[in-house]
Amino acid sequence: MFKKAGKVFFLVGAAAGFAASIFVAPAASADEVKNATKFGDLSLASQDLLSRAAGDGNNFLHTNGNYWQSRFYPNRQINTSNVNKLRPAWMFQMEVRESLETSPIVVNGVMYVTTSFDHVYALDARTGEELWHYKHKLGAVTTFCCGPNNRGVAVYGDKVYLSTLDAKLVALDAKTGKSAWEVQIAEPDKGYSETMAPTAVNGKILIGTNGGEYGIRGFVKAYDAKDGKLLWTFNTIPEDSKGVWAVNDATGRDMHRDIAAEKAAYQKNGDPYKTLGGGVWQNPAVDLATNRIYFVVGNPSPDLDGSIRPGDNLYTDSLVSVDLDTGKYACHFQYVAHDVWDLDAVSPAIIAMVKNDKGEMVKGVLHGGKTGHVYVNDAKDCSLIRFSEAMVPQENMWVLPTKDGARMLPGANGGVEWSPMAINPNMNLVYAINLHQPMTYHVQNSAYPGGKLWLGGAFKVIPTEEQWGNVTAVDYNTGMIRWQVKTPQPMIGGILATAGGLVFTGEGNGQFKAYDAETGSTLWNFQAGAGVNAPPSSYSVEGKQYVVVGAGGNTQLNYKRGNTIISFSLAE
Amino acid sequence: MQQFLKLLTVSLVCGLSANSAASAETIEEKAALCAACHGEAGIPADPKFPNIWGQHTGYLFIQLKDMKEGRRKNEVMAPIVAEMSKDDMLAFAEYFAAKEWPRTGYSASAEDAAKANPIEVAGQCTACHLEGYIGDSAVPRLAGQNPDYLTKTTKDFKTKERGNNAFMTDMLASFSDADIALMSRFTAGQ
Repeated sequence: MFKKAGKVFFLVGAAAGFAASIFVAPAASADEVKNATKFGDLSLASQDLLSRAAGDGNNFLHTNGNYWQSRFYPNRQINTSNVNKLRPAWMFQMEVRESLETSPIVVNGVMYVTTSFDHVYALDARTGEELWHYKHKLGAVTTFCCGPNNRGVAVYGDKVYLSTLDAKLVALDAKTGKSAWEVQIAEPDKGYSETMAPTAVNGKILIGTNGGEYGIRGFVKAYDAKDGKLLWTFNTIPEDSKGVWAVNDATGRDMHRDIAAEKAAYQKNGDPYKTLGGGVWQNPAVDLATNRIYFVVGNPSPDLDGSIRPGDNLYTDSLVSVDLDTGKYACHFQYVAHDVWDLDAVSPAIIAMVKNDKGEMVKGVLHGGKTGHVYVNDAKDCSLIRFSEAMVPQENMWVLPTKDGARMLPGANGGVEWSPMAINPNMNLVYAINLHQPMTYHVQNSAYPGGKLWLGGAFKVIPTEEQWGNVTAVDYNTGMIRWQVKTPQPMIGGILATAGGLVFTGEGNGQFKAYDAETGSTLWNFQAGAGVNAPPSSYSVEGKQYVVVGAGGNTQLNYKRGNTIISFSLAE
Repeated sequence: MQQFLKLLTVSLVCGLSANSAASAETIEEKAALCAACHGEAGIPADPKFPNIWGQHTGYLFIQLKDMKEGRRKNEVMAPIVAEMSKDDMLAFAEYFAAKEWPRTGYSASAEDAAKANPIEVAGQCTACHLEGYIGDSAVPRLAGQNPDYLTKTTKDFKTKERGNNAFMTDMLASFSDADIALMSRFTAGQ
């Protein structure tokens, strides 16, 4: 499973391409620790630094770039006119060769990346030299869906924060990688696990949970960044989860619910909130001005069998906002009530200034749904402003799952899966990567299995039908698709937009590409040798801008595995 | 019948040893008798029994727990696990997980590999069992397992004879017995 690897890093040479100097160093032992401070005490990630991340062209401080999660990087040194000169500056091979979904974080020249099975590396962002390596010792039982992934760390003060497959939150010393403290977030043998990066803000570490496929009761928790003390918990499933018995989804389409039967079941069996799922897979967007956070909540448990969970299943498949200091509910909006297709809400929420239906500029929240729509909501009360044209084919929606399987598009992976979107606020465009993966939806009835995989049926890919993906730019002020580029495989991983007018994203076949943000023209590409299914980041050190991405493939879509972090800069 | 009685006898002995947590007996000594079924060197003499050497701790632990609590029914194992404590089960799971996975020498034919592809795409098998079917923690390793055991236990999932994984039962409902046998050979032969 694990393959030991040395460290290989490439220096950009005068010649184009790869024929540059190659250094191979022996693998550092787990205990070998060097000082990770390359620039005096500047490695500290102060709250002020984190708050100003959206305008910081040197660092990449948050999983999705900044607190609004725009994934819009303000440095324009690499731009449409010179991106064709982008070359690998260095490559770093990690010990774990499995699904790679990490978002590289860079603080003053030090990069932090993670792997499947919860390893963390600190690297010199200029050279790829390893500074330290932390391997989390996983407990005997871990229960996770969709791969042993980890999506990265949060940085705050002199610490690096990691959440783990065995549902722990771990604080590491940023300079040494030594564990400072760890806390158990929830019980792994009940189906709780962590693959998301935490969010650090105002002395708190925020974390959600996986487990919507295992009958958990989801949450977002806030811990004290100093010592891991639990500050508050917001249960994503309220004790009264029945809602308003919505007949239509957010786009107005009939979901074919048997409301009378559901009401009878609710009356007979009570509220199903204890095992109703509602995982939170991805980071919340933080609005420091209003002290509120915005996150999306995943599917109800069991995924396909709605008969044993009557009601709207609040707040599954929803945008939710809570108070940052207390975790108190502020507002929510449910995209799909009583979901029986797993077409839930996973891709992280983005805060952006948008036009409302009166043409006024308001603070909005964008979310890319597995349904294939980008939803635009009002940040004030979570109400829906608009939804985009469908970015992928939709057929037979919302046919109910059957024992023998009902075909419906999109398949259960979306649309937009967990992949974070990016925006370009100068163009009012949001960029999403999508899957087209036809499936049949099968329902079976089974009782809560005590923490084991519990889908209430199965999703089956139709192997005879063509699969593909696309990169889509949507005008979030109109909902219209501006441009679309088809890709040969379904897309999963993430996207980065930059002030240089570029959009970067990778594919399962190893291609890593830069697109013109305005037109979708492919301006540059690189073959990474393994699936590029992780969100790219950017940073600069000593005046030179880099773009960095992981190439390690993907478990969920079975894309070719690898173990490499690749950092690119312009050839001189 | 004769073989079953022999197995049962071994099982009871094995069970007694497992139950002697208070004695000074080491885990190696307790586990030694289990070799009668699961193999001296990790390869069972009867291919309908699973390889447990090198299997993942979480999976072994959960199976023992499920057999004790009746979710997985097995008349040979039932008396063995009946008196095991949670600590005993974890100790056995860790002990066998730490062993080196045995090499059976079995590999999948090119014909099976070609036919398996659309089935594994449909079932998205590697999303849980991981690339190369090596599994992790609570998800079992299939690569290098006995194909006959895999065929039997997978069919048992389908028929609900093995009732401790509702998802596998649901998923397999739409797969034919021929597909199950093929996938068992393919995954075992990785």
